Amino acid sequence: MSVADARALIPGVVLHEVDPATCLHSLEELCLRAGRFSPLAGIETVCPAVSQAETLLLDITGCELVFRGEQNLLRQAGESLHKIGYRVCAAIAPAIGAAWALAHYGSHGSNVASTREDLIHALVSLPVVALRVEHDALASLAQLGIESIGELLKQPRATLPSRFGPALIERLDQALGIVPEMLPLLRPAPEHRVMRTFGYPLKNSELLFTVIQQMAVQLARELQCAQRGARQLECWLYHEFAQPVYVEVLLFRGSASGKHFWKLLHARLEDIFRTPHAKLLRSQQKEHAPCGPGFHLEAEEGVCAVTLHVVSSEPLSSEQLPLFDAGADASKEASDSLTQLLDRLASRLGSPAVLKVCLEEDSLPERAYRTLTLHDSPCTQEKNVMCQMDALRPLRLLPTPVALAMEWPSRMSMSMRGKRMAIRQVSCPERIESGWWRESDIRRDYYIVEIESGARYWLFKRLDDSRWFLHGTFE
Amino acid sequence: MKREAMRYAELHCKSNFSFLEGASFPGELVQRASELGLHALALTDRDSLAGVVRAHMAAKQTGVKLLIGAEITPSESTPILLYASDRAAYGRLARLITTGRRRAEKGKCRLSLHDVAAHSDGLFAVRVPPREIGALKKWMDHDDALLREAFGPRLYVAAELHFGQRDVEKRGLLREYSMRRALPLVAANDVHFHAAHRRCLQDTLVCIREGCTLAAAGHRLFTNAERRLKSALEMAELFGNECAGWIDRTLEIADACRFSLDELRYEYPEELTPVGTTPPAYLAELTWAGARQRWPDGTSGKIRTQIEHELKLIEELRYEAYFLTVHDLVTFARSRGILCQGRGSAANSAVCYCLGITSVDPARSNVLFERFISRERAEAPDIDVDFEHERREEVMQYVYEKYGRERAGIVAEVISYRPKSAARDVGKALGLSLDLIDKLAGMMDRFDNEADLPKRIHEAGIDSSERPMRLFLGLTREILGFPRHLSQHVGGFVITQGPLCELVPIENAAMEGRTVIEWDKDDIDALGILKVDCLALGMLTCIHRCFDLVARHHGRELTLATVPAEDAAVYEMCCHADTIGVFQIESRAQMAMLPRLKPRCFYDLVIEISIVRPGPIQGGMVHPYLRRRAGEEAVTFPSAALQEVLGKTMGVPLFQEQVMRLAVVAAGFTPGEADQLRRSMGAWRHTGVIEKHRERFLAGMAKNGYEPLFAEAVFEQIKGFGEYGFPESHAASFALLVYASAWLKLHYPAVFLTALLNSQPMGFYAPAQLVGDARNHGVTVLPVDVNHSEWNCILESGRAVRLGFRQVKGFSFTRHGARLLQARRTPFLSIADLARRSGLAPAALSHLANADAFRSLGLDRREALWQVLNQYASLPLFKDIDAEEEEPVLNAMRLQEHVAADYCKTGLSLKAHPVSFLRKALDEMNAIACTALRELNDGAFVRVAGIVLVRQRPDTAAGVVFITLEDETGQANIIVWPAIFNRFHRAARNAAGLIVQGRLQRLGEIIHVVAHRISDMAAYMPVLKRQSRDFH
Repeated sequence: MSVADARALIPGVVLHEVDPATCLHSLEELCLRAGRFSPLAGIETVCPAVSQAETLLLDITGCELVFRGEQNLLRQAGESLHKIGYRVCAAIAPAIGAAWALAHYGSHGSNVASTREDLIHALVSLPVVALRVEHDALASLAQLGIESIGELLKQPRATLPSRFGPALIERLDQALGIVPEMLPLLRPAPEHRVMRTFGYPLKNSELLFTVIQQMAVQLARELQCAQRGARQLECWLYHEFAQPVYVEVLLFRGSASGKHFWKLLHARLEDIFRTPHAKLLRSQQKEHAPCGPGFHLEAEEGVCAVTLHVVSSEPLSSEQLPLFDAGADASKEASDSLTQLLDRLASRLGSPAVLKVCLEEDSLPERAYRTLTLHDSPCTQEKNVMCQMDALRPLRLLPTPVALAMEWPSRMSMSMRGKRMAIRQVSCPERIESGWWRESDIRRDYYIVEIESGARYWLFKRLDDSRWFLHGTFE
Repeated sequence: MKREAMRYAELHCKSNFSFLEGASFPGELVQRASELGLHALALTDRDSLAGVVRAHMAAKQTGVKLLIGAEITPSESTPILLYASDRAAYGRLARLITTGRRRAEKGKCRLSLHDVAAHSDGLFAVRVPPREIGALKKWMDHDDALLREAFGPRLYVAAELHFGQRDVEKRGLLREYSMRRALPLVAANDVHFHAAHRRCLQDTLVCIREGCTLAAAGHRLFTNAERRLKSALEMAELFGNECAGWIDRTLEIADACRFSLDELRYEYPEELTPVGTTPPAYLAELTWAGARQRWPDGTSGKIRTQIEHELKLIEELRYEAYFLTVHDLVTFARSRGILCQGRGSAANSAVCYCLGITSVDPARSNVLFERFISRERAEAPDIDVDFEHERREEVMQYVYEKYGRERAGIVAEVISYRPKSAARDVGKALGLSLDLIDKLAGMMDRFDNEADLPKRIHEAGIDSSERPMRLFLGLTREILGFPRHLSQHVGGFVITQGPLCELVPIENAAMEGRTVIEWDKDDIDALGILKVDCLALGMLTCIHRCFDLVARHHGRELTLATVPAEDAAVYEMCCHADTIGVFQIESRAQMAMLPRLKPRCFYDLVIEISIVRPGPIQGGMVHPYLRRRAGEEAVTFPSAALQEVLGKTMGVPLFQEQVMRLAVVAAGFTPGEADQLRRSMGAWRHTGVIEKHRERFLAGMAKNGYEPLFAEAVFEQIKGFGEYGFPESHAASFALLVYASAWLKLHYPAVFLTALLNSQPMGFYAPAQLVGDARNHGVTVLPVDVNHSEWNCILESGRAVRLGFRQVKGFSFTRHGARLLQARRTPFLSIADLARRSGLAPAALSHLANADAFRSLGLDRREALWQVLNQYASLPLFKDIDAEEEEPVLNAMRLQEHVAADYCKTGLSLKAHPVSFLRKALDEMNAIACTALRELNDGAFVRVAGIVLVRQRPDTAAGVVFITLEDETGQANIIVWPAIFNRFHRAARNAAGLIVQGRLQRLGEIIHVVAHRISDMAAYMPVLKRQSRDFH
């Protein structure tokens, strides 16, 4: 349906553009959450029949025992998603294809098919579109009046592939569980992972920290062997009864230093243990980097296992160490220590607090730069936009322009905050008229003014009312 | 220096014909230059002369000296400004631009310094250095020997300052460069707009060009508004005393360039006259020869006088070559068997009738010939020639071939901003959300009054007082009418004796094999250059096919001129509005007019097609005319002077010619002014201009003692003509096609249907309605079948129409049809047989199966499809595989499923009408059949249902929507008032089928249902697919 049609039907309709990336991201988050119900969870693969992923797939083999039956598991899973505002269509079946079909097109109440008989019984009444077949085959089937899976099954099997392509038979067999289908797991096991389990729940945080410190060193050693540097680490703490808790650490540059890992982890872990009643609220977690999906740590609970693993990594930059030049060594160290400092600052203060300045293409001086968090722009040398510009700009700009009294050109003097200054030289004007599309049109003539002390100021005259302002100083 | 003594000529100035760069019309620039008292203004659009004629016309009015030039952008250098000093130099400039434009794709230009140097004679050149200091320093070291050698003392360097921080440094560098190279500097200002307030629009244009938002445009925007037209004083202050010489030097160039566009002399091609004779003699010879053919029994004295008079006039005005050119085209078309017909003021002459340019017999309608090219009006003769739409390209290529691309080109059409495109582009530049832009553009689409817009926006729930909306409204209004790019005119050719590219630059069109000149029809009109319009007309294709079929099946040879004239039965048919498929008078509005106007003779048809037009409707002339015609009102004339003008239309002005005459006779305009008046009415010109004309017109009428009401009405009519002018001289030629097609429909309905279907797409109705109408008139129509159909529809045994494969959607002639027909020497025995012999792939066969075209093989749609889908059937190895296959278990199709599938695949069904399946349900809800409406009285409360054929909201009907419904019995016309439409808009706007409850309104034979309630029929008819033509 086109937007125009939709609007004709409901004039006040609010339209949002589909953002596939965001959708997929939320789906991934849900997939992680679903780890509660099965360790093997994934998102359906996209193919011509399924143009956009919208389905979570869980292999619940054996898990139903924990939840006292499949029916219960399905209900709980549904409720857990419903609680956070999702409308859920779910089904359980012996095959991925069948579960997909039942979830999408099954009637409510018939969405658990435990046995093969149940399965066939449930499938025959579903429309052929439930088979995840491509559009062409669907169109042909519709033209032939074959509407349900049951009617399709009635046709001689041998006649199908030559008419609807081999995919139809494969999809049919996948739904019937005759041919296997891979479950595309969202989180394959991390490559670098260290784990410790304890014989009894560990309540002493110092002891725990020592263990984790050792683990960090071990992980770093593993990474060094593989010549990888970690960009993101997760440390999970498991409890006997409560939900596990994890902390996450982001690094600005790939690192394989156990010492560095520990410094960052330590800061985050201390946060967890220092909080009164050791409770971490969701909102707090949001402010910093995410820290466990909404679970909190019960202080009384001892930790019975810890894992430390690398979520993302990059090749270690292979800087050749010069044999003799100690200066180069020092500069490398300096740059290392800078990034480590940044890591630590971000870990302590939260990454929004660590910023860098970037130049922007804009004629208005106050809009000619912008600040970025370091994670938005990794530490790369950016081309300096200002270099392309013809004009001279002061390095320091006042946060807001300061009004001043200008006596030039009638007299060679000006006064600012009651202080009178003699002018030695005034440049030719640079006229900037810009920004009319924002709140207001800004029209100024900028001058570089040198006063007797030799200091150079950047002034402008507002063209609308001929008032003068100081906007910056040259050093 | 004294202020008065200061003089300056602006030499670097772009208009909005440097598309999406300049932000002022050429006229505005010239006007402003005149206000500023500039010594001269050079128009230097980027690689183009597209705007010079407009600037020239404005310059003539204001008395500003205009230099014709262009900013040429060679690929390896900064721009160079060139100015034509004389006619020959102008020719070289046009040729240079042509070279660059022809080399590059549409809209681009590719030139090198060598090209510039090669065309340098007589041209003055000014090099434009780069803007940035860094680039300028590098540029100063470049070698310029090539240009120096080519231009000699006529080479200059531009000095341009725009309040930059380093202007002083820049000035110094330029001076240094000038001294080092001994090149003179001239001041210029790189003008992009005439006044500072256009800065915002210019910024917006840049964003549209770059495809970015204003917020993201950064340094692509100019930093300030200094690129405006400046006075001599401002320039002198900017450059300072020590650089005064640079400003004086602009005068040196301005005075040296004396070329004016007035010097362009248009020359007709000469080769059409055989050696040893003169054009007038040759034209006379052809005319008299033609006259002998037209009137084998001898011409009457009256005709002879007419011809002599016309020939004399043509000779006096030296238009022979023009008539000979048109004659040549028409002769070519005849020789190829392409049907054609001329129209326009000059086309309705006895000479044109003799030359075979038109088939309207002057004896048939005397009224037409009072108007011919007239001496005092000095207007160019106007002949448009319509050709069969499928074969016009042959004629166009003939023109190119005969005169060469050097001498023939299509006239440009300037595509300019309309409300909708303006809203889209401005909205995007401002960074409004796409959703909002859609909404605003939709609103723009239909707004009739600019002043209404803020109100409408407010009604739509958008705060129009917010800054972004205020900017949006202001910019949208400002950008209206701005040229966006050049396209090609529908068919106007300019043909010259000398090289055309020395008259005007030629560039490539988007369509392959076409070249277009840079000027549009107004430009060439203004310069007195003649064009020949070669237009495409679907009805001519159809009529040609009819003549062929009549000759083949009925043994009767017909031409447009020999279709039996004034057949009373034809007019009787028209009076009953039984005109589906007939040229022009088949539209709903025309069909509603026919029973009221009751055409009884040829001239009535001329009036019929002219009266249902925005001009007469907006002027409120329709009802007075009908009343007078019906004898309900006395025929009177506003004055004796107007009796002559309005005599033939009972005192009511209907035709564009009459209204223009009226402006002259009654309002005191000169003929030239009257023409300008009409031109300036184009819908999106600035409202101020219209207001000025209005005052003058009304004052003129009042002065001559006419009633203000009458004057107002006539002015409204002129406004209506502005956009959709359709003069009597065109209507007369069209009326002949109306008559011919009506005659064919009446006497050979099967032939007419066949030809119409084979000429699709054309006309107002879809094949389903054409077929339905023909069947109602007793024509047998047979379905598409693999063993019986041809590509086109054919006549079987002379009477039944067999639908052709062309009706099958997705089935193409070149890829499928030709192979199938070639393989069908003997009938196909089975699908496998067909597949093997034709080699058609299953995909192609399934088109045929879906069209239910295998009935002659005893297979219905579904059975055929099952067989066709088998991928292996056509492979030799699997030849006999069908026999071994198990039978499928398919559900039989119901009739309504078949009908729905027929509609899907062929756009029509011969099996039943979709609505017929609902008849029982409709009966139960007391809905009556469309034809039953005829039995009811005015004011009856009725309910009708049908599929929607057309939805229309004419501009002239104040928001009223007209919907045509069709059921198995016929059609019903529904009128929906805006309030009802809004209330039921869900169904009314989108539904494929409607059930309408309302009150019957009848006026003689014309029946409408005025809707009270509207509901969607889809609930009862799920398989219906939407196929109406909405809001055209």
